[in-house]
Amino acid sequence: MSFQDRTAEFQACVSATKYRSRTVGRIATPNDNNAAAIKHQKSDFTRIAQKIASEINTTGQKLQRLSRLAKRKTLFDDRPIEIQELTYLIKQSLSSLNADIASLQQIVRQNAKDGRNQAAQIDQHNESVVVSLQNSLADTSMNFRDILEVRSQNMKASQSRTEKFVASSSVTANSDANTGNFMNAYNANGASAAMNNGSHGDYLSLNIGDSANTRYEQVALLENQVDAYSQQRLSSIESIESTITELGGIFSQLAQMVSEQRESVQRIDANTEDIVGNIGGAQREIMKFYARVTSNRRLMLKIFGICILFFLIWVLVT
Amino acid sequence: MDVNAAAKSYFKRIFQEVSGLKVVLLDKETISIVSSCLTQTELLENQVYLTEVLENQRENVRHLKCVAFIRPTKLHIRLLCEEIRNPKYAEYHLYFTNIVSRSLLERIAESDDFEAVKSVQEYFLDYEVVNSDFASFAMPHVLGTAKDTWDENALERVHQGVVSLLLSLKKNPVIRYDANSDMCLKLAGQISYTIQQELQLFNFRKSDVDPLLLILDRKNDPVTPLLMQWTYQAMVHDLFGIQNGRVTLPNTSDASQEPQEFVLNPFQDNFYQETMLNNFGDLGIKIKNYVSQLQSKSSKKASDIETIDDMKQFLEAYPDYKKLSGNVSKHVALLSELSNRVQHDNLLELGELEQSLACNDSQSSDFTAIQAALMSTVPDTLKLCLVCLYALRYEKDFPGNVKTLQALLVANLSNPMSASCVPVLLSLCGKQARQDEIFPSSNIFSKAARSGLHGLRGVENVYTQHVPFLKVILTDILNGKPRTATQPYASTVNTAIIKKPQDIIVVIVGGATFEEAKIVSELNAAQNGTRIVLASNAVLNCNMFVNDLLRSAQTIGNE
Repeated sequence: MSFQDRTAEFQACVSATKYRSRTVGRIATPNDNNAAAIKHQKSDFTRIAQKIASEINTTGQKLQRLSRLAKRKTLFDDRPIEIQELTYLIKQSLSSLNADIASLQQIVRQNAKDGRNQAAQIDQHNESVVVSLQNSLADTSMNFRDILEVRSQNMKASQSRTEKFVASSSVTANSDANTGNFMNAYNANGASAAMNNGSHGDYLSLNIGDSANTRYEQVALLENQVDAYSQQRLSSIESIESTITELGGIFSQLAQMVSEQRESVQRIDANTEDIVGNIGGAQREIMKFYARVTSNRRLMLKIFGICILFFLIWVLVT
Repeated sequence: MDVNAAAKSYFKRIFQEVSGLKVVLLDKETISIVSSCLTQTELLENQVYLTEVLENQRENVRHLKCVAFIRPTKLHIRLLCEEIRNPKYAEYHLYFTNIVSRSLLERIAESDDFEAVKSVQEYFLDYEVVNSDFASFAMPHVLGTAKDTWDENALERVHQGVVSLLLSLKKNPVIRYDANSDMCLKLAGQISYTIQQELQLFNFRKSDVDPLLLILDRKNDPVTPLLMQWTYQAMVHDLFGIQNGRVTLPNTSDASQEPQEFVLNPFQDNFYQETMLNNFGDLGIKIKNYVSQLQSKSSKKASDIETIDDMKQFLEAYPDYKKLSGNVSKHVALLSELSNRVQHDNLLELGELEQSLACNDSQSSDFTAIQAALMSTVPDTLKLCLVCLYALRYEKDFPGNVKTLQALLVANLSNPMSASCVPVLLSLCGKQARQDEIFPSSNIFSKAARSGLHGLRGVENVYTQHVPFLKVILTDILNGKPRTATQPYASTVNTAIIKKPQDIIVVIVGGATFEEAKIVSELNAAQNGTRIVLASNAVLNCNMFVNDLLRSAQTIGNE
């Protein structure tokens, strides 16, 4: 005779229904909080990885804008300041990303070290996440380098073009100056001549001198402008160069990380080879067993046949 | 392993837990469960002053406590929820007869606005107690719309009943079932699933041998319910029908009189308990002794009451005497009615014929006897039984004769439609549907062996030659050679360590007869260390079996 007392369960039900009917409205908020709390419990690793991924994404967008700007081959609508700013920003974010990934790797290692109880799969997953982040970062920085190279090519090309133009303009300027000097001389001569020629000549010579003066000033201004422009170019090329060297640093760091990965890959390789060896051994054993079984069966059949034979003989005899 | 004791102790516990004046609230199904094991007097002794039915309209009685003893079906739970929403009694103590699902419990909790419910318990008494080793689930029809399928309600009821039986007897059994029956397989599957689900409930002290739950299908032994019975209990059930321990005698002598109603409960009637397994002849002798016992008492009473002490004694003994005389008159009335029926319908002869059909090999003489019986004024049910028996026995050997008898049956029945039960019986339980040979085999060796044995011993009683197939199965198990081919295990069991089970619970799907109950109680009485309990969806007699066949003839025919 057994029985089950479910009064407690029933009373729990009653109080649950009471509670539910009393606090229908209030029940939603703590639930949300709970959910948020559960979300917070996600590991630091996930959070950091998420942040890094989103940053890589934004950097990629910036890179796109930069590449659009860099690929423009106009002489005049070149916006060096904007490009420089973008370059600077991307450079900053790339280096910060690099540092972040390094710290992430640190976290993973620490977890693997002190969290022996954690499942090996979690470690594996974290490792692979880090590697994929590194890969995307490497891709981004590769793009960045390409764009910078394109930019420098473009700049060189445009510089050579402007040099062509600037060279011709300076030649004309020189000739102008020469002619100016010559004219000055001529003017001086002419002035004397004009002095000789009377008031008209005077007027003319004055005019000519004026015009020559303004022209000279103009030319000087032009020269100054060209100078400032090339200065600017120089500085931007320098900055690009420095960026490229920094990128080189990042690449070497990445290479180091990748080389660290190689060890584990090699271990996997070795394990696979072991497995192949084991399977081969197992197959050999099974073949051996099979051979033994078949031989036994044959023996059994033989004995059985002999028995039958004897039986038949016995039947025939009797 | 005594169902009655289990039921009694459940109720004792209930009345201990709820003290003071109380109302017992029942539903339509638990009424018969309660009435099968408690009397009104016992209820009154436990301060139960009202017995109400959940379905009825009731008055407010706010000063009484309510003991609700309810089967947890959806309908009853709904009614109970309404009841609790408007409580009519001081406090409610809910006792469910089976496992209540969590959702139903929550529904009740939701409607308990007044906190009227003081306790909720599950007392696994989901069966009617017939004898101390025989339980019934009161579900006469189990067959669905096709052959060998369940009616959904019946499956649920029988499943719950068996689970509660196991729980109340504290058994966590290994299950075996009839291999050729999908119904048994399905029931076995559901029961083992429930046991898996409710492992906490079924966590009983482990005995060294697991108890055995044997699920059998009626179709493997269709002969037993068709035969006329000759033990007291079975005869009464066969001829008048026992409903919830009550017998209603049709009043043949005087139609204007109310039909007499008797209570036949083996737990309250010692004489009945002694004699219910005796056969008709022995019963006569027992009742004669009983009457003379009463006579001796009454003669002593009437003779000399002279002193005051005598009067006092007489008055003290008078209620006992009254009770005894009431009991005697009841049994005498029953016996006289039985013997009337036996004489009127010529049952002795027909019984012999049925036994010879079931046990002997006398086809030609039986055939002519049946033909004669069909022509006579025997009740229709008996005619049907005879033809059914003949058809079962000789369906393969003499199909022509079976046809002739069927035709004769159609011609001689008041309702020729009911003759359709013969082909239905053959398709449901015919030779190709059964898995064991239930008739004596016609093999020459077995014949010789049998006749030799018979020659030595002689037949003890021509009316009780037939042995139900259940006895063969049970004795095989008791002798330690279970027939795992025909009754395989439902789950994988380590067959190497299977020993003779100490507790066997036999469930017969499709109804059990009192003859089988007799076998079980005889085996229990044999004191060989094994206790057996029989359970079934119904207690069959010829009438019910034939009605069930006719019903399935309609449902399956309509498909």
